[in-house]
Amino acid sequence: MLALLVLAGCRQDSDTVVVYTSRDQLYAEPILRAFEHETGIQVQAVYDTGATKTVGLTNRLLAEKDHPQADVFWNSEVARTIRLQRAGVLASYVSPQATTIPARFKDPQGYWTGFGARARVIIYNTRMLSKEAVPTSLFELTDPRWRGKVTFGQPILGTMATHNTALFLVLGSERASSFFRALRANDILVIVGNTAVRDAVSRGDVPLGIIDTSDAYEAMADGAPVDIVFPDQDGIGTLVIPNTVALIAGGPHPENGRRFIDYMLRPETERALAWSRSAQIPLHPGVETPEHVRSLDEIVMLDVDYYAIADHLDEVCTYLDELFLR
Amino acid sequence: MSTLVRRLGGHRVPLRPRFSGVGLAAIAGLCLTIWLPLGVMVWGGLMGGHLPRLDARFWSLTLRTLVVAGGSAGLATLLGLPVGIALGRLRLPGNTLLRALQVTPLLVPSYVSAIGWLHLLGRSGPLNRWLVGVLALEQPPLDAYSVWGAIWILGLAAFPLVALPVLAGLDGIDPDLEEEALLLGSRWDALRYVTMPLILPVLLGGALLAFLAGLAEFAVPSFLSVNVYTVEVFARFAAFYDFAAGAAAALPLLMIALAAFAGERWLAGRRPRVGLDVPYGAPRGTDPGLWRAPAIVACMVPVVLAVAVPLLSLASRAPSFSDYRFAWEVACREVANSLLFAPCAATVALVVALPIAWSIARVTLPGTSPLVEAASLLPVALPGMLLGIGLIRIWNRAGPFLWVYRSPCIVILGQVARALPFAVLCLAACWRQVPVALEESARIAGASSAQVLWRILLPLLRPGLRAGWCLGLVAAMAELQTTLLVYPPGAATLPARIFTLQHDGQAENVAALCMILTAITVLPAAAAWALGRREEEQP
Repeated sequence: MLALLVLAGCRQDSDTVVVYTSRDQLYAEPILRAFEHETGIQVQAVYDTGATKTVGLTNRLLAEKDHPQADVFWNSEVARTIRLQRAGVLASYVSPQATTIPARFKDPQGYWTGFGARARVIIYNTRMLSKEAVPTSLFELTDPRWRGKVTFGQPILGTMATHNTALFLVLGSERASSFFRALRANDILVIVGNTAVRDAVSRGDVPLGIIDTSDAYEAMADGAPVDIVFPDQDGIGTLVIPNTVALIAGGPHPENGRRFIDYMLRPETERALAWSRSAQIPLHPGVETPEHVRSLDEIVMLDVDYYAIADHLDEVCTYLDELFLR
Repeated sequence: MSTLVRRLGGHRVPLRPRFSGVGLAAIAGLCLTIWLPLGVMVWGGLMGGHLPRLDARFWSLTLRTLVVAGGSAGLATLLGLPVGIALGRLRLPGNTLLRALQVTPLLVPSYVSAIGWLHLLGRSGPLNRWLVGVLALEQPPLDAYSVWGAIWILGLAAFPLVALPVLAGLDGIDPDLEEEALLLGSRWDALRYVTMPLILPVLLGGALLAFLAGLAEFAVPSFLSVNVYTVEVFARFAAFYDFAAGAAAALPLLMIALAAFAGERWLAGRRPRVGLDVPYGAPRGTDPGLWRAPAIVACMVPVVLAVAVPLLSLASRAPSFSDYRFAWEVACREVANSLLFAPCAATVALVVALPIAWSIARVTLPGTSPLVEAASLLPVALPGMLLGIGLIRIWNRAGPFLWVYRSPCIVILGQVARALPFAVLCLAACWRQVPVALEESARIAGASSAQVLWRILLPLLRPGLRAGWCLGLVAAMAELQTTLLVYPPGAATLPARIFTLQHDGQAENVAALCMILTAITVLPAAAAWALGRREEEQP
């Protein structure tokens, strides 16, 4: 039996594309199956979850760098994709479908392209707080009346780390450090990640949390008593984080990988993601979204460079590691 | 000292072999399955210059890790020992089913338990709301996001690691020893002065396993915001993608595990091993009389708390047949993979464990036995992430290695590493109970090593083989961290699917899949257990 299992690893099918995706399987799988149906190319997928901060797949891609097994990496985040680019894991490919995607959401040389984004928002429990009482700025969360009533995910992981690094870049080190020290002093509850934040606020363990729109929309679709506020719309703006798709350097099926990337970057795919339970924000102009989902031009975005985030991630994470994780 | 040889009737007969090809096979098995991939990572950590600094953070992390692991092992022992004794020494109806059910807490993924208990024990959960109402409190008294919450959940999950070895130990005791004690005293005297000293080594071994499992646990502390070493290791990988730093962060875990192992050896090493005369009969139970129902309830309470409460808490939203059907539709492939991979891994682990257990039980070179035992048990304490990256580094290279890396065999290798310590523990405990005189007599009579193994040792080792395979199956079936890192497309296992579904917010389907996972592990384990016992009880 073991010999049969080994032989299973020997077969190399040319009509195949190997996709590593950190997008939750429940949402990714229908899109992969649709690609298979349309192109006849079989997708062999390895999944991770955004909740594990792409640890599994990013580490796997780095470890496999000398002998890549994947063709495409579909990441639910951008800074780690840039880290992979810096590590030489990615290959350049400028998809014709990326033409209308705004320049800030793609690499000029095609090492990665963004699509289907999320925003970092404040989630609140509607049974515990009225909309008028909810803070409209992240900086209000340091107010003593919110002591012990706010939660966020581990500050050095995933989109939380991306968000925190963006704040350091926009506010400057001194003001950002002061803000995070104030959050710590205000007994902010640090839990494992966005999913846990969603569940904690939905259950009513705490009334407020900082989260991605996708996780919040999932909770709302499930009927949880929650709603969201886009913070600092009158100030510095809200961070928007795109999904990214990238070709893996030296992958076994590069041509199929390019075809897959083209498929992922179509406006039709963004529409499907926008109308899914997690409601990703389209980057192509003119893509129809559900009524409750803000489009990109309705959001005042935090003005920050994703490459700068990737380059300063370690520095900020080291500081926040000492501050929050003792 | 060299091997002693005595000529007898023209035959050269090795008495008490010190070392042999079997020992080499043991070392090779350990290296290939566990220490090569882990060693690559640990060596990288040491060479990378990331040795932990002995600062306040180090001591804070160490203390918190010790409290969580020690506390959960203590709770597991408090729950597991009475359960083991009740099932091993009382004639209870449905004993086989009760024994099989004790395995189920090991099947429920720890993070699922954590989420289920959070629903119940959250600040606005039903238990806190009830307590606030009944006791007129201003604040909810229970806080699951704490060290105590982690100890509660991990202790419940780990009590089978104590109960099952105690059961195996009790099954292996010569009933004549206890019957003689009964002639001289009461049942409690027999339990206190004969049974307990005899099972103390396996009890300590089980407690050690529970401690190591608590030490290596990541999901529960992570969910409950309890910062321990495994969370630290995860952060090094996830935040900084620094393999060397992540491996180095795991070194204190290794040191703590070594210290725990040394302590267990010191406490158990001087105790007499269980003696066994040939043949030994099936263990006899005492009729509990009026205590039958309370004993059954006592055996079920830990299982209910560890399994039913968190699963029902999860499924309380909308449990229905459609949830099971949807769960089956999204995960039938993963169910099939788990049913194929885990029994393979348990069997391979048992085969690899045989020479290792022999080395532990028979090799008399000073220090060899504890060294081999430590080498086979300590990986339980190390995070699966380390093993996963190590496996990638070993197997993701050109040539035949890629055939293994691209196949489900890489998943099975990760599962074997998790199953092996349990197989070794059960087999070694059982092997120690087999008198050397039996082997020697057979060799004197002219039997070859293969004949001694097949016709004498393996039948006597059946309880250990059965327990080792069942526990190994459970460990392999539940393996997650390494699998997430190495599984090739199409080879995801059921725990991996449960993990992703849970993060997708599919609580009802997660509960349904956990039930399925429980069933597909309990059924073959129970069948193997019952089959083995029937064979032993046949005249």
